[in-house]
Amino acid sequence: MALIEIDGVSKIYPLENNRELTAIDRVNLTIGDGEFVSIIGPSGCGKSTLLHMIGGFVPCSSGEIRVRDVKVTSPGPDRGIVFQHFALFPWKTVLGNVEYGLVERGIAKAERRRTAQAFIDMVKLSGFENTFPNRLSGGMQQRVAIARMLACEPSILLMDEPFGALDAQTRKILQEEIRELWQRFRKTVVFVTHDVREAVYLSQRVVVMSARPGRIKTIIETGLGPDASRAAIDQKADELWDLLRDEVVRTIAEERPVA
Amino acid sequence: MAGTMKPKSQFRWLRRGIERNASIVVVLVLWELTTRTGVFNNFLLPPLSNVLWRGGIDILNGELPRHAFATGMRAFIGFGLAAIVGVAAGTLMSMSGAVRRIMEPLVSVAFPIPKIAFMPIFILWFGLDDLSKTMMIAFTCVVPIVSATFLGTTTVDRYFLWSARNLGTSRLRLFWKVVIPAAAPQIISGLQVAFPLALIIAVVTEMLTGGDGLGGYMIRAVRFAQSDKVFAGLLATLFTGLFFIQSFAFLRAKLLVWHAESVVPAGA
Amino acid sequence: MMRALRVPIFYLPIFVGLLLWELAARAGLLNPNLFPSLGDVLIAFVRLAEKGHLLQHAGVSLFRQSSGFFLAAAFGIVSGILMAESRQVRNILEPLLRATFPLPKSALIPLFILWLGIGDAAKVAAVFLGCLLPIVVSTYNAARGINKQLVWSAWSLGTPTWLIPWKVVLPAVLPEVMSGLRTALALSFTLMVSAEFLIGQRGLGYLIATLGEDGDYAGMFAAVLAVTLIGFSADRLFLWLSGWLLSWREP
Repeated sequence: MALIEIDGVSKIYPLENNRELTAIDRVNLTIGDGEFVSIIGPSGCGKSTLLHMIGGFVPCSSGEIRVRDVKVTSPGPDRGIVFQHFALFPWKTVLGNVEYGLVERGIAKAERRRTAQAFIDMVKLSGFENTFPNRLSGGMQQRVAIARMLACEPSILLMDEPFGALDAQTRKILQEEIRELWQRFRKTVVFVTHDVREAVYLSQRVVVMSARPGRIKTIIETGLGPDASRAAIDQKADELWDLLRDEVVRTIAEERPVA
Repeated sequence: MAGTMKPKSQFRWLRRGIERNASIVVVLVLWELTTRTGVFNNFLLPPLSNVLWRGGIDILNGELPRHAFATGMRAFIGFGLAAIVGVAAGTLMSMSGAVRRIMEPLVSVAFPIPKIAFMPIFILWFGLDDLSKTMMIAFTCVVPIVSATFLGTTTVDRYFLWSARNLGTSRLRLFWKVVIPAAAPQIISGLQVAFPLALIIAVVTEMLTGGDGLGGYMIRAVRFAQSDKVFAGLLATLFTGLFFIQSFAFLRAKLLVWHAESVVPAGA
Repeated sequence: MMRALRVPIFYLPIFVGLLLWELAARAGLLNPNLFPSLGDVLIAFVRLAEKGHLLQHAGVSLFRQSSGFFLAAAFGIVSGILMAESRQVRNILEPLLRATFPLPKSALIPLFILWLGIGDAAKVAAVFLGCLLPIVVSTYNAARGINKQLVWSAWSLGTPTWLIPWKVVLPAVLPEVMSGLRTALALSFTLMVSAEFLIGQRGLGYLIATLGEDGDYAGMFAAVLAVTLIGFSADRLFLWLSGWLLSWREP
């Protein structure tokens, strides 16, 4: 059952001198309920733009995106998003940030607090409720961002290179935690990343995009279900790594500099 | 494949040009219309055409250019003085702890106070002519310049310094070869803040002493109830200010051609 | 105890300077007609304060300066944010900003005298319009540079589009806005004093000018001192307020 349908979507930016830049060129993709899909590709392939369009932040130049058969026109709490540089509200505490979406929904204070606290505990930040973001490490800030997103109970999680700004250790830890969260809640996740290995480790399907203009080059099934063991995951990741790396390298080699 | 090229109509460019200047034109047109049709009191708001006429006359008889030049000259000299003294003081502050300890509180206090309040004292000391005005301009401008210079010279990226030391630069030459060039953007930033101040203060001091210069021109116009002259003076001052800003931006671009920020920031 | 002493120690050179002033005067190095001694100035200061003159004139001045400043702050911040968020507002206001930017703010004073006479209104208007432009520009620039993803996050969490400038953009740009306001604050005092030098019958500027004309130089210096103190205190007060409002920035 398709949850997200990306139907003939293009994104074209007007440039000076009456030229245009085609960031994304007629992309078609369907994502089913509960799937974990990664999108990888070289810089400039439009993967983030595609994600932003699913989120409703950026309009499609042509084609449309449908979520549950309803066309996407603007952002909403049903599609939560997390960004590479966290985008936490620096003037609000951890609690203030996590509660934010609940406040917008008009939920009463006591219940809001409880819900927010539960998510803060879930991302292992208990005790930091009244801390401001600028005192937290990158990894901690990203956890807050994740908690903030989850508190609204979205059915779709959009993650825009969420671990790109973190060091290798933290990245590894958070990858495992995301996988755990997904196994627990089985939400639909669309995950954009540079990191081939990360994509293989986390997802069931990996979409490889080419750049300039952005198109889907190939889609690869990792064949790993939500209950796969660590060993199976590691082995599959190693197998697919070579295949995918070639794709990415070939894509990069095929790029010609913008005239 | 490179970004596709589609011929878009030229009208987009034209439309943007109109968008960017429409409200100015609208204001000017409204000005002329509302005054000509008597909506606004012609004394308080003389028609644009009258103002331009009066301005034209005073340009041709040399009055406005003379005053604009006087104001500009004053501002320029005062600013130049402030720049030399300010940069020198700022660098001294970063080189000598003693100088710094003496000057830092002075700069800190001098920054927020309305230095124009000292004008009567300056007039007492320096008379009503050019000297007091130029001194006041210099006095007002020197503070942000000292501050920016000090900041720039003390926060030079230490990796610059280490690289230079590593390549054999002696401590003294280090200053000239590395610190000053590295601090240049900050210094020029401070100069950029002080520059408009020079013109503001020049105009004010001229209004206070009622002599020559655009400030004097305008205040006399008010006293003699010549409203078209007031507006003509205002426009002349606007253009003088514009000239000032453009020449500064030009100089800055030339000096900082190697720096990433050599493009004049929007709204500078 | 050392911490409490840090501030006075910082300002020590100024106190030393004041001391030197007095000593130089006592030693006859200063012409009392041009440069009254610190002692005389302080005596004059007390005299003016006692008679209530200082308070009276200072009150009037501060009223003009604050009204102009707060009006400029309110209008300026709102305009700056609206300009950054709405294309229509930007199209209308940006050309006007660009056109009036090169004008030295003080040049408006004669115009306001023409329009509003020699009373309070002209002075408030001068302060208001003089401060308005820098505030709009700094707010606009700050709001333009805001991290788009902050806006997107709030949007996706359910904040309606029209509320976003006030719930997200304003708090996000507050640090830069406060910085711009601090500069505008200093400008407001300058404009107020300038206007008061030129016209009117009350206010510290007027007081300074009158005392000078009457030949009471010690009194004139004292009034200048008063203005200096007020300007300085206002700035420090503002800094403290900034720190309090922006306490979330502390590392």
